[in-house]
Amino acid sequence: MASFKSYLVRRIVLALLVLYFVITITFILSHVVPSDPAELYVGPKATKEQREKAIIELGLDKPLYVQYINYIFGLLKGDLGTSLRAHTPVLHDILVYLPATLEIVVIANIIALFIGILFGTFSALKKDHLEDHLIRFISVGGVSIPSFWFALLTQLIFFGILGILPLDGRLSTETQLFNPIKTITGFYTVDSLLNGNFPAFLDCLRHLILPATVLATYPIGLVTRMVRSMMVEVLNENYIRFAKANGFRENLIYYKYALRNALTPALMALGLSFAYSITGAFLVEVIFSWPGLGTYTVNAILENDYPSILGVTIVGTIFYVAINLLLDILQAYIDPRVRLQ
Amino acid sequence: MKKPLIEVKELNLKFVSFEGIAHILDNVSFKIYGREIFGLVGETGCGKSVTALSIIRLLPKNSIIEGSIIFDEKNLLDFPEREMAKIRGRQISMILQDPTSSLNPMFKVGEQLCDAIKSNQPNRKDVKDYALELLKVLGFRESKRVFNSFPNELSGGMQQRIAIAIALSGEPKLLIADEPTTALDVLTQAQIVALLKDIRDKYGTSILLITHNLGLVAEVCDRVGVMYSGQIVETGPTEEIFYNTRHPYTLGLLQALPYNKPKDKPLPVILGNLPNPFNPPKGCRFKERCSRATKECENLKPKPYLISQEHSVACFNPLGDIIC
Ligand SMILES: Nc1ncnc2c1ncn2[C@@H]1O[C@H](COP(=O)(O)OP(=O)(O)OP(=O)(O)O)[C@@H](O)[C@H]1O
Ligand SMILES: [Mg+2]
Repeated sequence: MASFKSYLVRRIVLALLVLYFVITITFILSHVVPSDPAELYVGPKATKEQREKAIIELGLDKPLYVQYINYIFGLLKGDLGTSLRAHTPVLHDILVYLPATLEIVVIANIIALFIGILFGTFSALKKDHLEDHLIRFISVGGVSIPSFWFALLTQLIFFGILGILPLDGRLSTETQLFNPIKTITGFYTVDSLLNGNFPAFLDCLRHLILPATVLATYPIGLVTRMVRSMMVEVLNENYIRFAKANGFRENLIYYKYALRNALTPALMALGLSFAYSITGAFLVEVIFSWPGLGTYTVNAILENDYPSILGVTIVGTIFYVAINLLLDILQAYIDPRVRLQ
Repeated sequence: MKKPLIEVKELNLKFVSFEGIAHILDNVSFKIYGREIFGLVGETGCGKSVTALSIIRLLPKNSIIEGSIIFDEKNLLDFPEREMAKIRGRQISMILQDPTSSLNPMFKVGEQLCDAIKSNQPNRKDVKDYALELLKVLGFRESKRVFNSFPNELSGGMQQRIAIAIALSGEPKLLIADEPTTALDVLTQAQIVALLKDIRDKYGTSILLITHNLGLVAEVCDRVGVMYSGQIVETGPTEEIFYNTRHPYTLGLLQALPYNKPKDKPLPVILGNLPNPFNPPKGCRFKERCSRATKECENLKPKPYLISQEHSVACFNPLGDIIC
């Protein structure tokens, strides 16, 4: 176990190094792209004096390496800089947008985990039967359907034709007016419950269904395929044949002994898809007018608001690195062979 | 006459694949009595493992099986899978050749043993105590520590003993051991063999011991079946097979044993290969490798016949009384 601890320490150091390199590279890239940050900061109608003041304020008169050092020191103090567009602290903006994204991404991935495992296992147990073919068809669809198209389709069906779910947004106007949610965590589902505001909670859920489902299609397909192929492989293993030959109950064999072995790769894939969705869900966010980090990122890039771009990059990288670390720990927890190495 | 515990009668097995139909077992018949260790010997690929898998009904889906396997006066081949699942572990259980892949690497061996006990003896309350007791029976002194180990923390021999413990968890009447020692070193082999004998003596479990090690057969088996290319060519009590050998193939196997080798001569080998299962030859399957083959062997299939009460051989030109 001691060796596992030192392994963890090494992993964390490595993670910090990765983070540092990503910050540095993004910093350099966003500064070599031709643009005029001071102009963006003061707006097109500003006077020459205002512009020059802005240059001093933003430290743009200093050489690049000094700007870099200042930025890194700022980071160490938890300061991600000031948005060029909004003049607000980047950290504050990100903390406003992040919970909205996390809310749909977490729900989407939980859905994907359960449905993926269910489908994958069932498919493997019914290998080459009709059920298997059907599930394989669905899972290929899941990974290959363009999310924006699927998003529009669900809107057309559930809002346009059936009229049972809202078109977009996180809350309906009525709720915002009559049952407003006091923000505590930024997760509306959690906050509305903490407020004891049940109508708002239901409204949140209704708004979550479509974007979460659309976001879940890719990981559902991914997890299903992973679990199925691992399960098919595991079911051919000697230890499964041995367990069968010696009278182990069928449920134990399939859902405990085989599934546990088939689960690790599925979790790995799911973790990466989760990390990707943190900033990569913007197509879905835009279509559902979802005020999340993806939307924020796209706007920051379009306007070359480099403090925001850097901020989002850092947050995205932290998620990637942290999730990878978490997955490694989880894998060690699930698989004794990893732990004992 | 004694009634056998299990009787395999005229078992025929084919595998269907893209390449065609492979004829794997041809009229395999043998009996195993209570408290008996029956050895099934033959070279690689002759069909020992598939015979075992036929008995426990875990053959791959592409197999066609005919004949009967009478156990407890019922034909196992007629059992639906649900019924067969109740036989496995409780009446018949099986250990495999490679102990290092028999146990699930993700779970502690104690947990696996307990799961086996719970599956095979659902009414049992003292599952853990019974598991520890089984481990003691199998010669583990520190049964608690072993109980909490993962398979890859144990040696191959220890893993095989755990596998045997699992196989015994339902107190079966028949234990099939498919080359239980092949993957182990010589010392551990001896240990496992002694253990199997102990189990028979203690619990009266019959054992089907599959092996290509004739030394092992001589040591523990009461009776032997010699298999060649999917057929049982000779079967009988161990001394009969060793000292009253009738089939030329059996003799070949015996002469290939290192301690039968005359000092100045190289080890004799049986020349040639096993016949092609997709297109088995007419007549005797051993004829091409046999020094005693005659015209008769060319076209006619030798049927097994009794040469004494328990000893049968399938050969047109069996050997006389040879002592080797
Ligand atoms: N699933 C399968 N499909 C087709 N042929 C098979 C299958 N399993 C086994 N066979 C064939 O059946 C024959 C007998 O195989 P089996 O494994 O019973 O041999 P064995 O006597 O146990 O050999 P060994 O000593 O190597 O374990 C072999 O020719 C093998 O190629
Ligand atoms: Mg074999």
